[in-house]
Amino acid sequence: MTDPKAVDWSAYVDIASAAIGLPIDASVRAGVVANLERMAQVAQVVDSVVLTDTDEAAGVFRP
Amino acid sequence: MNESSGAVHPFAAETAASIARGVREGRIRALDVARATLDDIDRRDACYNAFTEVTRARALAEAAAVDAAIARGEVPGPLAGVPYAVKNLFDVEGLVTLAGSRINRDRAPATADASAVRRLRAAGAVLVGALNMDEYAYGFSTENSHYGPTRNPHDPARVAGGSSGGSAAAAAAGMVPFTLGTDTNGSIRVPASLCGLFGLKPTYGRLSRAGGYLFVGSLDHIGPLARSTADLALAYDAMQGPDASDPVCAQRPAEPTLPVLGRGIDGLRIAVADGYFARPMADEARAAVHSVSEALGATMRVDIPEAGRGRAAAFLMTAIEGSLLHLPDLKARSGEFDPLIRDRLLAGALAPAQWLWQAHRVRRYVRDRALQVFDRCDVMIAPCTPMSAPAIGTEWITLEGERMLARPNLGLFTQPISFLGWPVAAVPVARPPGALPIGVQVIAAPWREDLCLRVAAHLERLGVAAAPAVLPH
Repeated sequence: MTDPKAVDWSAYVDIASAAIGLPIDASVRAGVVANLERMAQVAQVVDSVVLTDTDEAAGVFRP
Repeated sequence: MNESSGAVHPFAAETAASIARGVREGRIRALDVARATLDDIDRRDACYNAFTEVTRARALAEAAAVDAAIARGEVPGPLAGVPYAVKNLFDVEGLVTLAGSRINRDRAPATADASAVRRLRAAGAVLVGALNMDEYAYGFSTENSHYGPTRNPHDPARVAGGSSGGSAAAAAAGMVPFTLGTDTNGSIRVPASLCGLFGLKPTYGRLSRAGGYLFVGSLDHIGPLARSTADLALAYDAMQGPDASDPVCAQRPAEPTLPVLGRGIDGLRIAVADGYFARPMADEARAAVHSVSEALGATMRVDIPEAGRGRAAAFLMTAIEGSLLHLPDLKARSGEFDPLIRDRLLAGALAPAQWLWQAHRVRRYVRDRALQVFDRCDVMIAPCTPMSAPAIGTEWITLEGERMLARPNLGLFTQPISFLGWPVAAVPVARPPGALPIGVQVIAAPWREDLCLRVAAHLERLGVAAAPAVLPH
């Protein structure tokens, strides 16, 4: 995954919020960006696990 | 706090087991227990803010029904006349299921009880109310901005833990012998530790969550909190069994634990969790693990493989799944969410899908590797919370020189285990009078709740584990 520090998370918030129709009020914007940055750092840890094509998600859906 | 906070009703010191025995034998009436309990809640809960609703009429009707059944010569259930209360995310017929939120107040009242509530009623238990929690269960402190913080009965200036904070405070204060909570990342175990209670997070899929308001369906569990192992087992056993209305609930028959509580620890290989679970913690947390491992003669140390990356995956699943559940309300009325969780929910809703999908695949990967630890041991001891209860409003903590956010890190040690879905008993470690409580986790392999409870009961018999009495404030 891309280095989270190299991503403009503020710009990402604009694009992603527009894409799903989720307005982000200016009063909370900084907090949202900060939380995404934190998530990106955690995602980097999770991405460091090298998976194979046979590593399935553990779904529980039973038809 | 006022003087009345120390005044308790005649049944407050009784266990669920002793109340049920007294009711069954006709020595006490369920109605008397219910009245005393309701009056006690009216008198004392202002100190703790554990209850968001008291179900007086229902409790009196349920208690009267138990007494009437006994008068007819019927055999009442194992929890006959035992008062209890539930986290306010469980459906209770006629009540709006708040899940700690303001938004859900606009919803219609529940038309039926949650499965767990139905089963407890069938066992003779008497529901006296619904309990405070972090909004939508997203927190470890129950500092709810809409309904106020729940206060720790051992020091009302401190948090009760969360998200099942009301569940912990109500049982720890002696207002009811047991309560129901839910645990996604530690929400039963964290408040149990901070309030000095026994708590059980069963195996993922063991108990039905039907009629409980979801937080993160992939990780959500339900379970009881109580002041003794026997009460924990009584409540847990009454809720076991398959339930087609919860797609996650396993098709397993009930495996009662109460009959095996006295079996002790002979033949069990007990280890202390090392590696991730030896990371910075306060002295009292380290002392708690030491005291329990010494009492159990546990000298082996084991590393649960991938616990750290498991916790990271749990964090992402929680942030993203927990957010997307609320997307319509986030779009329409984000200003009505608790400010303590609003920014996290908004951020989670915007996260790339790849983060969530990778976390789900990593869960299976971690599971396969972590299970190998049971080749070496049957039960593990690990810290439960990294410290005893912080003061209400605490933003930051420092553990062995490492500064970190307080609220998310109360679940530092619980989150990797719920991610794996393994059963855990939170066990309160006996402390000197007046010392703040703290617990440890007793962890076993999937579907071996019996081992967690056996070890907890053994520690209780040794006097190493005990729910501390609440001193008058």
